Parts: sequence; structure tokens; C-alpha cells
Amino acid sequence: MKEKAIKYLFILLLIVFLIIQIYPVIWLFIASLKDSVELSTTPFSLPKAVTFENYKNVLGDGVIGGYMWNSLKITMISLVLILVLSATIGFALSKFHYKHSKKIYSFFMFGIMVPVQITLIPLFIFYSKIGILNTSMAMVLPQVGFALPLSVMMFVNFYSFVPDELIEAGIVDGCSPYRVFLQIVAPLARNTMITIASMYSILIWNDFIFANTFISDSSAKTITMGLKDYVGAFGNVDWGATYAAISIAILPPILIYFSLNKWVTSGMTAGATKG
Amino acid sequence: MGVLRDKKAFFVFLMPGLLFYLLSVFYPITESLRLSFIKWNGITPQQFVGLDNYKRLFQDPVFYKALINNLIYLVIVVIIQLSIGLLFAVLLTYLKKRANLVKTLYYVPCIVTTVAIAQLFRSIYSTQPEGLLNQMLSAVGLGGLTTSWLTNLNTVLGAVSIPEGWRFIGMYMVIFYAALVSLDESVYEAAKIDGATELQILFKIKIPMIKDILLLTFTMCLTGALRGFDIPYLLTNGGPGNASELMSTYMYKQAFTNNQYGYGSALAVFIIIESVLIIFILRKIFENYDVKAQKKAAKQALALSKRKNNKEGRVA
Amino acid sequence: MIRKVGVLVSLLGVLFMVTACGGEKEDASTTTVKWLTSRPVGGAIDETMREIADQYSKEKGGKWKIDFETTADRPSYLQKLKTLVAGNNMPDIIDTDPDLYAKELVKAGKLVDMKKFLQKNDYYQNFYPTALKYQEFSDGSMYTLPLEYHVEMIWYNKKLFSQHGISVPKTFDQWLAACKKLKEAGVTPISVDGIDRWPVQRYLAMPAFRQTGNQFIENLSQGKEKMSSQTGVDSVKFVKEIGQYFNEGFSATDYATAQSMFLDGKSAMYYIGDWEIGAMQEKYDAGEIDYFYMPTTKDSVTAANEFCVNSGIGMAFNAETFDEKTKDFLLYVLDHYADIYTKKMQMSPIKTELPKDVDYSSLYLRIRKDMDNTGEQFMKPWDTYLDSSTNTIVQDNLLLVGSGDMKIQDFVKMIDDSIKVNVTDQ
Repeated sequence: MKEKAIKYLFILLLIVFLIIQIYPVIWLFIASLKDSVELSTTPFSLPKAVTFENYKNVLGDGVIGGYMWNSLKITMISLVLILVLSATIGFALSKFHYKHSKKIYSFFMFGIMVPVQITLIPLFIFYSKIGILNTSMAMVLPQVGFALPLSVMMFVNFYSFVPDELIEAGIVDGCSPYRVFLQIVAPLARNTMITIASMYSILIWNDFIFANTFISDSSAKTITMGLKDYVGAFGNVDWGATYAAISIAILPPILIYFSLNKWVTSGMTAGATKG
Repeated sequence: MGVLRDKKAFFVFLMPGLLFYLLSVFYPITESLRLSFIKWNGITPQQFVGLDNYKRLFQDPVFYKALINNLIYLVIVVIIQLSIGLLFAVLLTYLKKRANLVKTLYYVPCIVTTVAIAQLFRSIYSTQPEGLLNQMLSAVGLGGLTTSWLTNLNTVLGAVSIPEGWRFIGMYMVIFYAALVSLDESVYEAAKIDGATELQILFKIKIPMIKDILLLTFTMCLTGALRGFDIPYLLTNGGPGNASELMSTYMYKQAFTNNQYGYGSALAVFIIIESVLIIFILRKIFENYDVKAQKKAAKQALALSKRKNNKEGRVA
Repeated sequence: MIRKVGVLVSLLGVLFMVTACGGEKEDASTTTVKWLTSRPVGGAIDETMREIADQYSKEKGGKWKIDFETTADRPSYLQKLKTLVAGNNMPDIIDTDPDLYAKELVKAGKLVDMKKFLQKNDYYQNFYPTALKYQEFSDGSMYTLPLEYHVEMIWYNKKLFSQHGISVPKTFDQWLAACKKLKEAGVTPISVDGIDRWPVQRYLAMPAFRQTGNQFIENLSQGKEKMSSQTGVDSVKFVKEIGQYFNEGFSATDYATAQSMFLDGKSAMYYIGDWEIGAMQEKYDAGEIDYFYMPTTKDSVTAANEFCVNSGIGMAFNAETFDEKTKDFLLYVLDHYADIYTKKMQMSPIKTELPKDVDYSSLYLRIRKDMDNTGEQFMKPWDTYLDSSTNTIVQDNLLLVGSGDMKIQDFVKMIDDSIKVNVTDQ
């Protein structure tokens, strides 16, 4: 009897928490259907009159598609680079015999302690000097760079569970380190890759400060920059339009995350059996 | 330590990533360090001023306010993110069906843009028009507690910390869940047979087993909180006065609003050093725990084998 | 497996090439001028300038283009501008207020002298003098071009006023008395956007303007006056007094909420300029709201028709890239701006006749008449005078004064200390 009561308590907690977690998205969507004055005065009630005016505004000039495409490009390129680079670095630091590996690892750890806002001007001056300013590289470099410390940490953590015997077996079989990595170790890291991918795809998609600073070409504007288009004179913000734009903007990350997660369940059990 | 010895391959694996890191992260760190000894407003030539910025830092009352605020913010955020994250990860492990769906939905706040979250919480905390929080308090008869959470000097810091904390609970929960689920069941099955309760298994076996993940998440959480910027900046921009000023918002203000790039850099250097110290202390705590745990485990193993011998002795 | 890797590697290679070479391919014979701007997207100025740019480009056979890079959110715009300037990448045209940062740009020789340009090309007298004076530095030089022209006023809810027997206040005392009466009746007297800080700073500037015109703030910002003087203390006192009549939690109330509160009848008064004419039109026509200008005091040195008039953020030109082509474009703009802009129901800083074929609302016409009748002096916002460190301190802590959480003498001391450190000790 006590068991059942506890079980129901658990389920209640889970549901309450679930509501707390998804409430913002629901609120966001409902808010985007309200007109601005109603939104400011009664932000939490259901709309008196559902209006699609905000969506018309946002979709009307057609630029939002372009913004999302730009965001997608940068996110995808950065993600691929992050995964490849952190997987290889992690592998190098944890499975190779090198005197200074630990120091290099600590060197990478430094990166998570940096408040990114202060890097804007040095990076800008630097990129300006090496001439990559108006290219997507200027956006991708910092995204990848700042993601590396944590990703490397996660990979190193994962690799510590990959038994050395596995690698030694590969070497005995005549594999080069590259083949060991590609054919033996990397496939095992699927879960880690998915965790990193889901984390950073969202962080990069939602990044504003790097996009705002490094993107000068208006045709390369990302969606987070586009969200600021609804700021009016002297700081008045059209929140209805902004929320409509955000509702549209978070659809791709949600879709990516949900689809990535389908892989995780199957990967989870596979990853648990390390054989 | 490592099992592979091909030096060339080592560098092939390491260099590309290292290059990216140097160019986009390490270089700005060294630049910030250099700029912290300089006075510069972005236009006029840079002027070397030695330790002036640091002298100013240690005499700046707003700096100390921001420092203390940041530590309080840190504690609130870490407690919310890690304890609730761990709690729900554990609860989730007991859920047989639909765990994946629930897990995915819990992650959703991480996906919502900070701009929306900031406005949402601004509306929740307000009094005119009455926000959700005050409405709920009045509804359950705690009307005396209603206040403008973002302008009341006693509550503004907490009010600003909560959205940040709440936002990433899902992420830590996912990480903890993955770690808990990948634990080797045989280890605690044995304890179950020995009559340990679920709670005992949780605290004495499962949590120590995910120690590495705990260190990882603590590191992520702490450094994230020390750099936290978006939501405090959007919600109150450090105000009213400096009541919710954090190190990062103050640094940004100095660098971009006050055009004092050198001083802003000095603040940034301080944030980095502070993070390094905290992580160092954290690692020491975990190492200590490790040593203690190993000693304890050895003792317990000894006691267990003694008990077993006694039992067998009696039966036999 | 190897094939998968091969695909991945080639994909990476392609990505690298795409990102590294993703720059702009330009036709060598077309001139492209870049304008880093902070005007609302799709707003009147944005549209007007785009129209003019299109027309001009056509007249030049497409050999001239202007690239608008808009960041409507002002703080983000400023951060971007400052980063670009620090990286030696200042665009051809920028938007800036005539503040101390702009002054530094001038000192470094980066901006074109707009006053000289307008005078040389005979356009100076075409502007409303106040619109130009607003863009001037304290030494009378002007480097930014005004593209808009606004008056700021206090809008009020007629019904709430008549319900509580309040007549339009003409003096500060009457104003405070009206607020008190409203508050006692349970009405929120004034709704204020505290988050953006400048609306609260306006109240600080009011007493000083009435007592000395802009003299006090000019002297204060140069270290020649103290906040602890009578004028200074009176100004802070006023904020403290009227602050108790602001909506609760105003320090965290944003622009849209403060305005909506007023429009929804939840507050009796709201201070905002005529750029919100679009939002006010409906209720004004329905006779629900009206406006009055900043009240005066007994010994005002400034008259009732002198209050805050602003000509918005100015347009400034990069001295290094200001060539004949850009000059030509600017002259073209000066010729056509007023017509197109006014047609969009806006107040142009360049004097012009109203086109006959457009139907202007009575509100627009009334405000325009007010503009024509403003006095010579006008209240200039304090954030264009003060050094940025002091300004930040004023803005952040003024919120505390207004909410009653900071004593007048503490605030005064803070300001004087900051001015000492940032101005006089330089």
C-alpha cells in the first residue's frame, strides 16, 4: 500500500514538473496570438480575440526564412566541426601516451571559464587582421572554439570507460591508430555525440552576441538577430510579433532535439553494454 | 596512461582542434590579460597604465557588490539545477513507460530563446499588471507576500537567479539520467539481495558511482553561473541600483556602456581567476571524497567478509 | 565504415571552403556604401531612406548602392558599433547621439563636420533650428544630421482627470497635487518604463531645466557644478516626490507595458514623445486622452513652450570614406527627405509645406503647430551631456531614488564622487 502511494506521489511530482517545464512554450505560443496591448495588460489570460496579425507581420516580408536558413547553416557547420574536433582531441588526450596530455587537458579546461562578452573586441580585431571578417568563418570559429572545452571533457570522460584492451586488440590486429579511432572507438561514442549535438545545436542556434558582432552582411543575418527587428523607436518592442517570430524560430531546434532523441534510446542500451 | 604510442597520429588528432581553440578562445584570454593593463575607450590610442585597473577594482564598491551577488546567484543556480536535476533523473529511472517522452519534454526550456524567457518572467514577477506569482500567492491566501519581485531589493537577486536555474534543469537531468541508466545493474543487485533499501542504494552506491559525471556537471554548472549574463542583463541589467549586478553584467557595462575597455578586461580576468580557483577547490573536494570513500569501502569490505565468515561459521 | 568517413571528410572539406570563401563578390564598378543604422525596421525613416536610396541608385544607373545594416535594439547596436570602431572598421555611415563617445570620434577626426557641410551647401537654414541645436555639442559644433523631430509631452486620461476633479496642471506643485489626489483615490497616477532608464532620467532633468535651462547640466557634466547645489538637490528631490506616484515596480516595467497600462486606462498619465502618435491616435480621436507639456515653476527661466524637444539619433558620416559620390547622395537626400518623410505622417526636421493630397489627423496638425511655436530653449536629455560612467551611475541609482530606496544625499554624493573621478581629475 505504501509502495503504491509513493508511486503515485512520484508520478504527481513528475507531472507537476512537466507542466512547469513546458508552460513557457505554451505561454509563448498563446502570447503570439494576442494583440500587443492585451499582451501587456493581461499577459496570462487566454486571448480575448485570437489574432494572427503577429504571424502575418513576421511572415509577411519573407525574411524570416532566410534568417533561419543562415542560422541553420552556421549551426550545422559548427556542430560538425565541434563533434569531429572534440572527438579527436579527446581521443588524443586519453588514449595516447604523451607526457603533457594532462597539461593540455587543463589548458582546454580554461576555456569554460571565459566570459564570452570580453572576447568580442579582441576577436573582432584579430579576425579583421587575418581577413576573415565578412565570412561565415568569423561566426563559426568562436562557436566551435568555445564549445570545445566542454565537449572535450565529455569525450575524455567517455573514453575513460572504453577499455584499453579493445584498442590494444585493434593494434594487434594491425590497425593504425586512425582505423582504431574510426572503426572501433568512435562508433561507441554515439551517445556522447548525441548529447553534445543536442546541447550545442540549441546553444548555437540561440546565440545572439556573436552573431550580432560578427555578422555585417544583412543577407547573412541569423534568426536571433532577426528577433530584434521588432524593436521600435526609442525602445518600444512589439512583443506580439517578437513572440510569433520566436515561436517560429524554436521549431527547428525542437524538431532536431526530438529526432535526435529517438536515436538516444536505442543508443542508450547499446552504449551500456560495452562489448 | 595512454595505450597508443604513435606520436605522429597523436598530433594529427590533436592539432586541428587545438588550433581552433587557440584562435578563438585562448587568444582572447591573453588579449584580455594584456588589455587589463591598459586604458582604452576603443577610439583613442591604448595607454599602458600598469596595475591601475586592478587597484581600481579592489577599491570599487560595485565590484564587491557584484562579487557577492554572483556568489549568491551561484549557490541558488547550482542548487536548483543540480539537486532538482538529479532528483528528477532518479524519479525518471523508476518510470517504466514513456520515460523518453517525458525526458524530452523536460528539456524544452533549454530550447526557448532567452528573450522570451526574460519577458515571461518579467510578467510573472510584476505587480502592475499583477503577475502570475503574485496572483498565485493571493489565491492561496499568502497575499501578504506579494511584492514586485524584480524591484524589491530583498528579492531581486533571487528573482533573477531562478529563471537561469530553472532553465537548464532539463539539461542536467538528461545527463544524470543517462549516467544512472548506464550503471551496471549487477553492482546494486547484490546490495538489494543483502537487504539494502532503495534509498540506501541510491545514496551509497549509485551516486558515488556517477561521481565523474557529478564532477563534470558541477564544473559545467559553476562556470556557467559565474559567466551567467543573458537573463540578468535582460531582466534588470543589474538594477535597480546595483542590487542584481553580477560580475558579467558589470563587466559588460564597463566595457561597452562606459567605454572602459581596460577596466572591463580586468574584471574579465578576475572572473577567469575566480573560476579557476573554484574549480580547483571543487576538484580537491572530489579527490578528498574519493580517498575517503576508498578507505570506507575497504573497511566495509573487511567488515562484510568478517560477517560472512561468522555467519558461515555459525551455520557450519 | 570507411565510405562513411570518406563522405564525412569530403563534406568537411566542402564546408571549409564554403565558410572560408563566403565573402561578398562585388561588381568592381558599383559603389556600395554601408550604413550601420539603429532605426526601427520598417519604420518611417527606414522606409523613407530606402525609397530615396532606390531612386538615387536608379538615377545613377544602378552603379551606386547603399547597404542598410539595421540593429533596431539600441544597446545591441551600440555594442556592435563600438566593436567595429575598436576594430578599425567603422562603416561609411553610422547613427549616433551627440554624446561623449561621439565627441571622442570627432576628436579622432573620424566624423564629417555636418554643420559646415550644411552651411556650405546652403541647407542649414532649411532645418528647424531646434532640430539642429539638439545635435550640437556644447561647443556649438555639429557632426550628426537629424532625421526626425519630436516633442515630448505628458499624456493624460481625460476621464480619470474629470472623475477626480483634476484640471491640467500648469506648475510642478499642481502636478504633484494632482498625482496625490489620484493616488488617494486608488488610481495609478503615472506609468513609467524604468527598465530603459531614460524615462526616469527625464524627471531628474525637469527642475534643473526650469531653474537654469541647460546650464546646470552642462556645468555639472564638466565638473563646474555640483549635484549638491540647490538646483541639483531640488532635481533629485523632485524625482523622489514624483516617484511615489509611479506605478508599483516601475523599475522593472518595460516600455510596452507602461504604455499599454496607460492606453488601457490603468494609469492616469504617461510621459512619451510624439513618435507614439500612431498608438495614441485612436483614443485621442475618441476624446479619451489628451496631453499637456512640462509644467513650469514660479521663477522659471524657461517658458511654458519650452520643454523636451529632440531630433532623435543623428546620422554621421565617416570622414575617411566621405567621397564625392557619398556627398552627392547626401545632397540628394536633403532635397527629397522632407517630402517623402512628411507624407508618412511624420514631423520632418527640415521645414516643408504639408502636401495637399494627404489627410493629416487633427492630432498631427495640433502637434505640428506646437512644434512651430516652441521657444528657443529646449530641454536636452542628460545622457548626451554626462560621461558614460556617471550616466550609468545616475541611471541605475535614480531608480532607487524614485522607489524610495535611496536617500537624496546618498545619491547626490555618488554623483559628485563620480564626476570628480571621471571629469575633474582627468
